[in-house]
Amino acid sequence: MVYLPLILKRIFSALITLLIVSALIYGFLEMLPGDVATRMLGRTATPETLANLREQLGLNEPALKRYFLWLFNIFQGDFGTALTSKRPITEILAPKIFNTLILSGCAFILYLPLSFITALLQAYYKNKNIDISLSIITLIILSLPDFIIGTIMIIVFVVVFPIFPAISLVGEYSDFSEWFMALVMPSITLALVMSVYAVRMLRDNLIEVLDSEYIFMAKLKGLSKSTVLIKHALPNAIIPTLNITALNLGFLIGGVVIVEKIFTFPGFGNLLIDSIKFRDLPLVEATILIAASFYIFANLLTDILSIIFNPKLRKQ
Amino acid sequence: MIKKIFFAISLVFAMLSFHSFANAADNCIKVVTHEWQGENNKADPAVQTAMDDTIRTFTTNEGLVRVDNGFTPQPLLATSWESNADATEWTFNLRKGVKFHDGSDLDAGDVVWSYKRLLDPAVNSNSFAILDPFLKDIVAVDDHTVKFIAKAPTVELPLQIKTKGSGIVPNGSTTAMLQVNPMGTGPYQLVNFKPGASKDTFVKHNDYWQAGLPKHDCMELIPILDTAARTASLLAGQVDLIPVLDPATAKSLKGNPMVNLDISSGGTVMTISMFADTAPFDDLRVRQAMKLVVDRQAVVDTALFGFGEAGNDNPIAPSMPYSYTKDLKAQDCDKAKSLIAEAGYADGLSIDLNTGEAFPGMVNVAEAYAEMAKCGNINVNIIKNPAEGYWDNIWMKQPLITSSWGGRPPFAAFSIAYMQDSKYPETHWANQAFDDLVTKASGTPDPVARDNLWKEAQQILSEDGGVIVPAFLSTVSAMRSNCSGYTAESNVVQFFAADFNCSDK
Repeated sequence: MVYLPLILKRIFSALITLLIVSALIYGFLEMLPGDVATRMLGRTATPETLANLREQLGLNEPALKRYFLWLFNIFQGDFGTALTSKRPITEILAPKIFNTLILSGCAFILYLPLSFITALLQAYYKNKNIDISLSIITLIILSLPDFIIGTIMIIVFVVVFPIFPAISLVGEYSDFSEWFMALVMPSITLALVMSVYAVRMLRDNLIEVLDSEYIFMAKLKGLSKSTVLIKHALPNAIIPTLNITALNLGFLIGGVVIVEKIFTFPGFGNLLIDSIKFRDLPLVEATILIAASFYIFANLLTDILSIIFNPKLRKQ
Repeated sequence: MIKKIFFAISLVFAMLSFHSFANAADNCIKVVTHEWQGENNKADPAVQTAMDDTIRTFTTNEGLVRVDNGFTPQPLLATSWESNADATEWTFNLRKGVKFHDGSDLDAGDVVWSYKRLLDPAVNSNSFAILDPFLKDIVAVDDHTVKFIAKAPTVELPLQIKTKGSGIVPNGSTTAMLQVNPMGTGPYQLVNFKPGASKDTFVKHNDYWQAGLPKHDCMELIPILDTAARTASLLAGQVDLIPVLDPATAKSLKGNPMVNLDISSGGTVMTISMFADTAPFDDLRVRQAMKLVVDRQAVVDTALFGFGEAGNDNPIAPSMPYSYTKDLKAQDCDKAKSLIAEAGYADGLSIDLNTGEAFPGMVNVAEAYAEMAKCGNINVNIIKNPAEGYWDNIWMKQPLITSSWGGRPPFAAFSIAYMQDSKYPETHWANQAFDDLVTKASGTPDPVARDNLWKEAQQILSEDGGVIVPAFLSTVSAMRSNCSGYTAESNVVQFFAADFNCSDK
């Protein structure tokens, strides 16, 4: 098993990274003005009520002591409870992560054909009308931030053509059609934003590879243009795209935060914003650690995939 | 192949049309909130903070009185009230036959318990700071009579005991109990409440004391945090009511036949507040000049998009019957310039104004003010702070800031921020004559004499105080055109759903 040492090494460095991330988050949130007590009581807090709540929440302990206590519990598999609602963190996180995984999954499923088909079309019809018009479209989408794309989607598909709901509220009470309606707009938004980078990268790589000598050779052998493109050019053009895909997976975490906010999707991203807003430290820590693990895992996966696709790396 | 694609497309459309059919059969009224605190969502009225809590707890729980937009107390769970001769003891008669959602009867014990909680610092209620200064005790006289005992004569006690946390809960209930099992006498009952859920669901309270109400079987409270999405869902008929609209959106919806707008008079007090004990604002001439540069109607027209009323540097709107003058203070740039020069700033005065979108419209007001101040030789440098944490870090910490207050009756409006013992002294202004007038008015039972004292107090605050009130922002509520019965509340921290109904649901 050639990948095992690499995976073990990566898992070890991932754990160290997570530890550093957790300490940084704790430190940053402690440094920010205001704490969970000021946020829970709002503008009309008085010094008396603040002192009272801080005492009840145990905030009067030194920050370092609270951090190590929290870390100690984490090593025992106990994520603790949210300061604001006092509900167990695992109970809060599980449904939100489930929702976000479904959303990201749908976005990723749309992303793959969207970017591959577009790029293949462009490479196949290089410098023809199709290529140029697709390039213009990708450039337009590329230059629009995701919240603008989301808002345009809302205006078009909620106000002008009232097909979809403006907000994507789903939960355990939702049936399949509700899930479907809720997922369409946010997942298309995510997929569009992710795929434009990959399309441009893949198109250029394909065209570059198509110029190389072995492709020329394949063409001389009399293979059809589409066979050359898919069988010979694509596998070689795909490696740089894999890196983009890994970056996109990481983006998915950040992009999901914004897209969930626009469509009021009850996922991990909205939870992250809320928990930071309320300085709910245990909840922020748990959410960020999960996001970081996901990011690290996505990168590990692409490394392994690029080794599989690249014979040179495999032998080292 | 083409047939297959057609089949797939028609299948999708069939699903979509089935879904919209299911939607049309939905009898729930859908109310939108622009704030949603997730895990910090509260179902206990005593500890509520943000807008979503307000809508949730005012639907579930009712108070003794409802305060209308003219700041007159109206009967709710109390049917009538009277005070003793010096207004230190107030007796409230409770409505009979009122039932909680679990079927138990409302009695004096529930009211006493609910108010004792607010007066208990360990409950962490924001109402503590408002009630504690004047309320000494509350006792049950009999099953349906309670007595409020004030620390000093308090003629506006029926108004003052209505805080955002004063919804009545069953005797003996605690925050922990109410978070799991919300309970009140309101028109709808909150079911399956969980902090952090994606929306709240309410069902009709079948034993509600107002016969024939509520008109619908259920209600949903739906968070839509994005402004465009909020407006879009109302226009698409996916939601029925947006209780508080920002002025820019209100303007875009004005005249739209698909929407009913309700616009309150008076409304939120928009202020520019300076520390009257800190240079340069400790000089009365500077404070006067800073007020003279304001073109009040222009602030309403530009910063508030016309949804408001011009103000006279005190928290009482000129349209109120007891305002000290109906005339607006006029802009006088020359006089402002000479006052600034007299105060020792011959080359002009440069100051920093801290603002932030912690309340929608504050930045607009600050920008309009900075533009106007130039004519008085005052150079205002605007510092925009993040809305997050504005009330923790900027408000009452920086000497010149923008702030906002929900509309309040005179005593509450003056005592919350402008008296020397105020809990939120955002202007650091100390004026014994003003304090004496407010205290005296609060103990004056004769309404005409009292109004005269209120007027005197307003004039002092307006001429000498550290607060600039250029305008009041109206509350604008938007309903679908088939819906009616909801009143925009000039004090945004209340919500009444019982009368709201949609004819097509």
